[in-house]
Amino acid sequence: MNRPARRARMTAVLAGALALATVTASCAPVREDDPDTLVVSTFAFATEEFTQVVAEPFEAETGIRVVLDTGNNAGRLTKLRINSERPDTDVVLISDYYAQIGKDMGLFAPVSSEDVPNLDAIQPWAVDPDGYGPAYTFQLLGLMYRTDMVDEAPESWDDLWAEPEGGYALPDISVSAGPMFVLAAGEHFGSGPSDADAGFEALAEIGPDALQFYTGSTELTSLLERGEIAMAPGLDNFAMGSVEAGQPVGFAAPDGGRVMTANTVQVVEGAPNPAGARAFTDFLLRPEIQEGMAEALYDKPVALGAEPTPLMEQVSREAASDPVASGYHQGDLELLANERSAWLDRFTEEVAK
Amino acid sequence: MSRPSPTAEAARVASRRRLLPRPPVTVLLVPGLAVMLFAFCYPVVATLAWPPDGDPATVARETGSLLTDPYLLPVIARTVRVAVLTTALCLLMGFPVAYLISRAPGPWPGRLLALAIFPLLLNTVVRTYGWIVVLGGNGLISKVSEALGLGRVQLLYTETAIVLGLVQLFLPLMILSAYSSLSQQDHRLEEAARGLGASPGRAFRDVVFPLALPGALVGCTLVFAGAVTAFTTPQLLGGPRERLLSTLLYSRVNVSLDWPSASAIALVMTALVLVVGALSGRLGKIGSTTS
Repeated sequence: MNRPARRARMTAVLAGALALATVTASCAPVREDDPDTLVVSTFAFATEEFTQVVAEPFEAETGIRVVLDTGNNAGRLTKLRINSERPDTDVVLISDYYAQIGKDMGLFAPVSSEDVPNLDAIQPWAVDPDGYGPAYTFQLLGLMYRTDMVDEAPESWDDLWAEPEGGYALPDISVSAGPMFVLAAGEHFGSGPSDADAGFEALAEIGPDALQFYTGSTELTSLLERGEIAMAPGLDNFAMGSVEAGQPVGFAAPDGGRVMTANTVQVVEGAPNPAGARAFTDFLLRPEIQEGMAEALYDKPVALGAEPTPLMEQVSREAASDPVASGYHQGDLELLANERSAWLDRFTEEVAK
Repeated sequence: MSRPSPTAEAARVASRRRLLPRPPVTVLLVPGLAVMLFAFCYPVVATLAWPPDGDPATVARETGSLLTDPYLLPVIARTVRVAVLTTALCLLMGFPVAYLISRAPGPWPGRLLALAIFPLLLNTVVRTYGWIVVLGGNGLISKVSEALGLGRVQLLYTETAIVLGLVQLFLPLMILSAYSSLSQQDHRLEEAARGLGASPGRAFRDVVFPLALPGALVGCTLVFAGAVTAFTTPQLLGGPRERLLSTLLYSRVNVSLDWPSASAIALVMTALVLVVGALSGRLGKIGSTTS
């Protein structure tokens, strides 16, 4: 073989090997029946704290290696849906609204107190009525406000509808507080939290004068801390960082229309490590782990033996330890899941004009 | 046995080389093409035609309803308007800058170019938050307006804010594209035009600009495509009230998990960019034949 032909063949072989390496380098082995590893799909924020408070102690106790897969609710649910034939994830931390959609899609497996004993030691509302994964923390919808821009702390949703001087923002339908706010308005101005027509009608009244429909918790806290607005409906967790930092920001639970959302822990149907997933669920509900998460992540505990932090009691008052006794509820999650497309359209057409 | 003469051997090697279809060059395309095929083309086609919980028929139906929905047509119109305005402003501001950089003496072109593209080194979110501070009701512009007795100005969360943010984002791209054409021009052509009596303006209009048109058109296409598909800047500076196709797509995916509808929006965005790319190519051809 002459030199040019040899060189051509050598180059072809090298290029082929490079192409093969490029394609295969991105492939990971498919997990099947893998009791030594646990893939946990969780929220993208405060992952370092989550690793320190939850993942590392779980690894130390069980010897199971924890791998975190982070992202927002919708992105992670989409990934689960796409991989539902051969799931790679074992356990998912996801908000109740998206958990309901996942349940309807058949993505999650039921759990019982036989394999998750701590289910018997959490607040009753946190146990899933259909037998799926429980709530491990919750957030309350209320009114966040600038303490130096309003004369008195708001007491009712009416204080927002009075269009406070200094301006206000509203949650976009894309953030957790958005659909919750529709439920709260329906309850306050209509026949109940499922009265979506009354909720949207009420929102349409104040939508045009809102400075902004915020699309993230940082955007809301930024608007408040810069004094661009005096008030906005928001979740109590959003206020904790500002209150702890000494910003003139407060949180008030309205006297009616009290809606909350919960983050749940779900075992994935067909998970490669179902026993590890259930052990992790039980671990997450332990009082000492719940208190660690409360300190590090502002996650209010649901375990009966765990206490909320003093900051949580300062911001959310008595609802920090028992939201249901304080009149908070999650609303009809099935209604929210079924109406999600219709509500998005209604919000665009009637409120965010 | 007689050895072939050196001339005959050289002719034989040369003819064999001609027969070889240059395999090294074509084969070297394989890794890049493999990546494009598996990591780009396949996901794009799958997303546009076969989203989760959908098929091509559903996407087609969703596209049809998107193009006839009276509430969504303004979103498409706003997207096109914002992208066209952004492109026009980038061209108006970027081309003269690129021209001056290309005509700067000594080591200055390199230094000025580095300055012009410096904003590209900053994170988009950081740059956009800068605008939030400037354009807000308590921001710099509002404070100056209040000091002048003109009252509080709220530019944030308006279409103007989106256009301003996008112009800042994409101006370096336009400068780079125009500069690549302008720097390759023979400056003596402009000097010759001036020597033959053309005014500076006419020399620019009839000589410099037509020759730099391909670069400017590439810049326009890149800026338009970027403005149609940008998400962070419209989301932070415009918000849900000033919804564009990119932010609408985000809502469809993240709120309603309506993947066929999101695919339909992505399809419309892709079509918009392809149409403008084709128009730009055609304009470039017309420009090169008339100049």
